[in-house]
Amino acid sequence: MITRARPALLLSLMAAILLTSLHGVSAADITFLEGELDGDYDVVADARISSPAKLDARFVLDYQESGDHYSLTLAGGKAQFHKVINGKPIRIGTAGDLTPPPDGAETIPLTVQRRDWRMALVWGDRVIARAYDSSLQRGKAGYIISAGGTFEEPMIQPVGDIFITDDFVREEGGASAWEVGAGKWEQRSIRDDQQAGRQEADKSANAFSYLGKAAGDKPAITTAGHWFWDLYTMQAAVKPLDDKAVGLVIYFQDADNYLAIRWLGREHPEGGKLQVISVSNGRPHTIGETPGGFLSNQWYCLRAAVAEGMVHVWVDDGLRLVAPTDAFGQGKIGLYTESTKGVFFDDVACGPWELFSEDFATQAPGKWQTLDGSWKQADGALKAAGDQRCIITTGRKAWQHYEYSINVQPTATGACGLIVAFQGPGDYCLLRWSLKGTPYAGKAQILHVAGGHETLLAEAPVILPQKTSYRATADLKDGLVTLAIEGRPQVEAFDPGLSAGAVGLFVNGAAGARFDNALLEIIPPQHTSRIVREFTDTSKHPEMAEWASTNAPWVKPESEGRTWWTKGDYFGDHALVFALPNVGSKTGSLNLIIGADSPQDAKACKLIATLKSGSKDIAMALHRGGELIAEGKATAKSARAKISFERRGRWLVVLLDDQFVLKADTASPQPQAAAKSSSTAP
Amino acid sequence: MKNTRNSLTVIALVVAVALLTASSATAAKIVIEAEHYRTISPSMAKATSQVASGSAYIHIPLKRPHATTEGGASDTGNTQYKINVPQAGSYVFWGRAHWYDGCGNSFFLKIDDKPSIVFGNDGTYQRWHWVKGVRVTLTAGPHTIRIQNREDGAKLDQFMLTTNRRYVPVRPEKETKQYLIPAK
Repeated sequence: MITRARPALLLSLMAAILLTSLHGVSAADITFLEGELDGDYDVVADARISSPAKLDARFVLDYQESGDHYSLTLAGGKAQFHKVINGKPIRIGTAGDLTPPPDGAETIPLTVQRRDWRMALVWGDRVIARAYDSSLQRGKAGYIISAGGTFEEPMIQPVGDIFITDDFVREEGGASAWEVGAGKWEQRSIRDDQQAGRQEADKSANAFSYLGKAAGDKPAITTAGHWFWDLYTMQAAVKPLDDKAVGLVIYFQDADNYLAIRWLGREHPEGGKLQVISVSNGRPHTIGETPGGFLSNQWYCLRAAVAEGMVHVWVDDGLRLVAPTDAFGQGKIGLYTESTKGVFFDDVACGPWELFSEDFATQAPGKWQTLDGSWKQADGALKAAGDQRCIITTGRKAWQHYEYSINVQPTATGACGLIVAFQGPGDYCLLRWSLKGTPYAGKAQILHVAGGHETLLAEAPVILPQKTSYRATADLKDGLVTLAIEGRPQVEAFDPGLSAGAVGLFVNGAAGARFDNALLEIIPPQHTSRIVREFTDTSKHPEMAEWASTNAPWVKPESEGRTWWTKGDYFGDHALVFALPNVGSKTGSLNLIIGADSPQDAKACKLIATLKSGSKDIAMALHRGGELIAEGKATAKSARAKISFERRGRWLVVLLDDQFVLKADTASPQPQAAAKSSSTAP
Repeated sequence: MKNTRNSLTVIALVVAVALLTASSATAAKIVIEAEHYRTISPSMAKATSQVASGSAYIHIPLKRPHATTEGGASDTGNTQYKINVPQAGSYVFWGRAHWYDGCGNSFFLKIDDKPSIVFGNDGTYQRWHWVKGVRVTLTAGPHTIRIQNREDGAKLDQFMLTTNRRYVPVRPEKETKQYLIPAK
């Protein structure tokens, strides 16, 4: 008995020593994987299993020296994330059912995604489990298999920035990053005259594009990006040549498995409509659609974003369709057409996307963190369970530039509120409102809590709809905080110290107040109009008339020293950004004007920046309607200073080298002392 | 007892060999800093940058007028590398590149005496990113890599050859100097 045991022991020991030297294994039970774990990453493998119910395995994520870690348990036919602290597992997130490999396959691919605060399991072609936690720092990753299968070719795939752009400036037939999945795709230049070789690509508009044509009934698809991209937005300019479907592909696996945005022309036999479809094994399935088709031979901007099992679709910056799906969970981007005549594609861009949604239908422990009072998730909603002050938070402290909304069913007395820019228990922004039973009854307020101390930033009479439930929305955009209820603006404030943070809910003296359907969407960055010379001569360059912008140019004044005006109209929030040269060596002033109907408009908002030779100090003076409404001074970092003169809601804001300098409230009838400020850029 | 020990030794050796064999069968990855060339000829040049891996990269400096050298016939500026491929196999070539624009986004790549091929031509400009190149079959042992001018404004920080078809580099990779054959 002893002699039989010894060789087994020795072999185990040798194997452990060899594994240690070859693969860096340091714990007896866990097979750790080699790879870069500084940022986001995936653990990837093929699971060879006979039956999901017999599998008993575990993935280990962010394993710390103390032994604390996250674990994904695959047992009893279920997948479930845990946070393991001091050896004690705490269930986090939602559980999912494991499925057997598809017919004819012996293995099923899996990806365990670890992002900033998210974890998810893609099992086969679906996301089946999700969890949210970021309390542990990055650590080692590995796995344990106790019974019921093996993991083949496990590896760590680091996930970097999601980014790709293409303006298709390359010679026809030239190599590119696009991989044709189906159909015919070719580089095209609209111009074919003797000027074609003189394109200057640093002038963003160009005459190159990408033409896709379907071959027969199968759609044409071309793809780019990487298989592990998961939370992203992509857009492309599209010009269909007939009414056949045009679209974008997301989560591309192969030519028979992907999600697609499918847009049909107005004259299409099926009728003009916009769809999100899931194609599985070549069979399409509609998961969302809305009426409205395109006109052929026109350029449109088609945009899709996918995250957290939701697909958003925009046409020309207007949100047209939202569709839920847990299919695929990751994949490349692509371009799509069913037209045999063809579709021109141009200016493709893909970047990261953030979305947070919560319908409180499923318990996901760890997703929301109670800060004060008590909360209870029941009946598909979140309720404040006590009469005291209750605060609960969720999300990432890095979130910025977002819109956060939720359905609120208040009680007759007490206060409800939203929290944005949450950085910690004593550092956040509270937007609250109350009808009665509080010192601020009848008001909506915005407070900045810093170091545990509350500062009232703004308040206004609250106007609530005559119904039991309504939707409250908070926006956070570079210091501008606004509250709207049922789309009606209530109160807004500007505080440059509020730029990023997680979100939450607030209740005071309103036990039983209900919250449901929380949604956080990142507000897309605004378009930038670049200074270009106005193009007027189409006789020598007829092809230019087709794609030259008529909106962006600055119009050169008739004489030196006069004002340059833009040709376009700019509505809503906007920023005029100007690089000021020769700071410190020149004396003079620069006038920046926004909000003017014409060059003679006396109500224009004007910023006068004054420089003196020998100093990098820049004096700023804000005028409106000819009156000084705020002034300040700042110091430029270098001889080339970037001034940004912005309208944010009702506020005028001035930044120097991305640092806040001064603000003014345009709704205020008289200049206010508080609006006058001075600061020095560090 | 002696037989038992002999058996144990044999089994242990078999296990060791099996594990080592399994280990050597794992994916190969060769990462070279572009500035660690064996030879360089103008107009290819070395430059420094804090955001480049190893704080340096190679490039074809931007010319004025820009984009007049496409085709590379008049300017064969290049860098050459000699590497020792650890195992025979089918390798994917990746390069960490930075492109000026659509007319400054490629190099010629020549491996051993194979024909030159275009590397790059993607549309991501003004930022470092990894670009996938060709798949090439290599024998174990020494091979020559040549990066040659095709367009001005093109920069290269690192290149990688890997047998792992699924792996995608996303950040600067740790250089595997052991595969670089230094000049004598």
